[in-house]
Amino acid sequence: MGIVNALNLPKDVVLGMPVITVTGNCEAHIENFKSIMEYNSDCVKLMTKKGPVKIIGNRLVIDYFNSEEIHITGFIKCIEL
Amino acid sequence: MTKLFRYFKGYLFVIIDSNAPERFLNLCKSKDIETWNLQNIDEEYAFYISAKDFKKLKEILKKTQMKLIIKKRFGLPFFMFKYRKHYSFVVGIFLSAIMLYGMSLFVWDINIEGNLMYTDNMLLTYLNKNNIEPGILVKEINCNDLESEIRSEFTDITWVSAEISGTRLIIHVKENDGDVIKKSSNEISDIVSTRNGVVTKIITRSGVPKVKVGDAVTEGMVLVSGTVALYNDAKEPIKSNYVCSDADIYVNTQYDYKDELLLKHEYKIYTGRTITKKICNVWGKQIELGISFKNFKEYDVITEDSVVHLTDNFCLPVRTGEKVYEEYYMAEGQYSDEQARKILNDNYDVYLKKMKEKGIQLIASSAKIEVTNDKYVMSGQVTVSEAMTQHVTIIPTIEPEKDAGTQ
Repeated sequence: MGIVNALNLPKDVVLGMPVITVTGNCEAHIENFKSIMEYNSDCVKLMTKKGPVKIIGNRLVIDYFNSEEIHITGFIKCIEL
Repeated sequence: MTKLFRYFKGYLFVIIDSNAPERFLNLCKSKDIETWNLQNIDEEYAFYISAKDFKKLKEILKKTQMKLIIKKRFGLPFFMFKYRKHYSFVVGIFLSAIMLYGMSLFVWDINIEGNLMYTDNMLLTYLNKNNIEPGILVKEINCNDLESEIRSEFTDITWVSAEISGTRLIIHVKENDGDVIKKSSNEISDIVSTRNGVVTKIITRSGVPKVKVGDAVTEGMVLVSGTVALYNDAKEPIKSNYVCSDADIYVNTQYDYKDELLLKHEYKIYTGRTITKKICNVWGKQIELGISFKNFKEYDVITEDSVVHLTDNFCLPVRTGEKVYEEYYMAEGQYSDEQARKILNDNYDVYLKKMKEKGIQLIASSAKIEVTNDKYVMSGQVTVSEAMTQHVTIIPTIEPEKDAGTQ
């Protein structure tokens, strides 16, 4: 971690840390996730290298997902890390 | 674009009946199975999956012991499968493909660019005379020949480029900027006067000059002869050589100008009532769409149409557009003195401008307006210096050659 900081390297590439991009309260894009732990219309819980990430909201839809990223749309209320 | 690809490959809308779809989703992720629009509806999970990936699901469903229901199929493969026994459908596709191919062998639109002096109509009429019109086979058009034909027919066109792009024939032209065009052919000819006047300048390059500066000439008079006589030592003509005359001859001549304007005149008053009809032109036959209950006694027709094309250059033999009928009635009016003078002066200016455009040099012009009871008459004379370029082909006469030594 110290070396990464010292060399100013991107942590998502070197350490595989999740990158969460949220657009307003209707879209969330998560990169570097490992698996889906829980999914229903009110909650999406994902496992990442740094632990679980929980997205709580209403009418949550998984727009698409692949081995590296997942795109969630709906009414997002809160994101727990 | 993604949607289009998905449509061509085919995709399904499926539902899985499970309370815990997470394992199923993670297995999909590990096997790189693409799913989208995954949503939780009550106790069920619905999503879209491509037809190709759907086949990979079997193993996962077996592992997770889930049931999957196909709700709807989308895309071309399913569409084709559904109508596989509709032979007319297959025949229709086949026929339309043949028709498209067949139509691509013809020229359906002729586009002329760069013309100012010659209108599109003039050039299209000329092309029509040469059997080049929409509907001609592409292979029957020889662009090189067409270019040279246009250049020789229209002397003011200095450059032509014809190209066939798809089903469109595009002709680019460049017109002469107003200089006097010299005769380019090598036919044996005389140069004759086209007007009465006085010669002001003559430079002969080829042929025998028959007039000199200051001579009065009449219409039809030979100015430079293409017949060059050869003389023997006794200065007797023994033989005639024939050449294509070439000379710069300028003649001072006068043009009479006369223009009349009746004070009482008729003009159109548009009522504002119009009928607009859609038109469809198929293979040269115009079909008017729509019925109108209005009946106009006198009307103008304005037609605007454009060729239907699949791509920019793949035109079809169909033109669509609008036809507008504008009703008017004729009314009688009388010009005021000021209006009449303005119209006559404007006409006179246009006349002089047209002369200049023809390359004629104006020397002097005078015109006056005479007023009679019911009309204004503008008359005058325009003195110009005009180049004589009228060639008259001559037929050489075969003479028995005289002996050079005969005295």
